[in-house]
Amino acid sequence: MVECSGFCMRCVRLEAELEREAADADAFAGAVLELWERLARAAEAGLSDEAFRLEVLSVIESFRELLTTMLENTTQDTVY
Amino acid sequence: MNVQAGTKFSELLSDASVGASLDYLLLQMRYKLLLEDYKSLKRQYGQMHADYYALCRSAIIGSDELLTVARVLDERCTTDELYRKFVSTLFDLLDEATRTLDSGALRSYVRDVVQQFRARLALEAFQQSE
Repeated sequence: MVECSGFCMRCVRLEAELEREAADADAFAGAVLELWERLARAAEAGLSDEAFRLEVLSVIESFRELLTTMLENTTQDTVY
Repeated sequence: MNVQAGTKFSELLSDASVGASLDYLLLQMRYKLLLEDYKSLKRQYGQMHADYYALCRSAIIGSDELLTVARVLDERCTTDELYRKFVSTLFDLLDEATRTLDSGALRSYVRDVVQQFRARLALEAFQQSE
C-alpha cells in the first residue's frame, strides 16, 4: 500500500490540474451560453434577413475561435 | 404546393418549397439524434466511471486522497470533452443551416434550437439538484 497524506507532489499537481481544468471548463461553458444568448437575441430582435444571417455566422465564428483557444490552452498546460 | 393524388415523389422534391422544408426537417432530425447520442454517451461514461472505481477499489493503488482527486479529474475531463464535442457538432449543424435554409426557416431553426438547448440546461440543473 502506498501511503500518502494528500500533500505529495503528485497529489498537489493533480489538484492544481483539477482546479485549472474546472476553471477552464466553467469559462468555456459560460462563453458558450453567452453565444447562445446572442443567438436568442438575434432571433427576436427583428433584424433584417441579411443582418440576422450575418449575426448567426458571426456567432459561429466566435464559437470556433473560442474552441481553438480552449484546445490550445489545454494542450499547452497539461501536466501529465 | 398543392399536392395532387398520384404526384411522384421526385416531383415533390423538385419543388423548391418542399426541398427547403425537407432540409429543415433533416436538420431538426439530426439535432435530435445528436441530443440522443449525447445522452447515451453520458450514460456510457457513467458506467465506465463505475467500472473504473470498482477496479481502483479492488487494486491497491494509493491513498483515498489521490483516488478522490483522480476520480474528480477523470470525471471532469471526460464530461467536459463530451460537452465540447456536443456543442461543436451543434454549431456545425447551425453552420449548415445558414447555408441550406432560407431566411425564414433559419430564424425558426435558431429559435427552436435555442429553446431546446435552454430546456435541456434547465432539466440538467433540476436533475443535479435532486
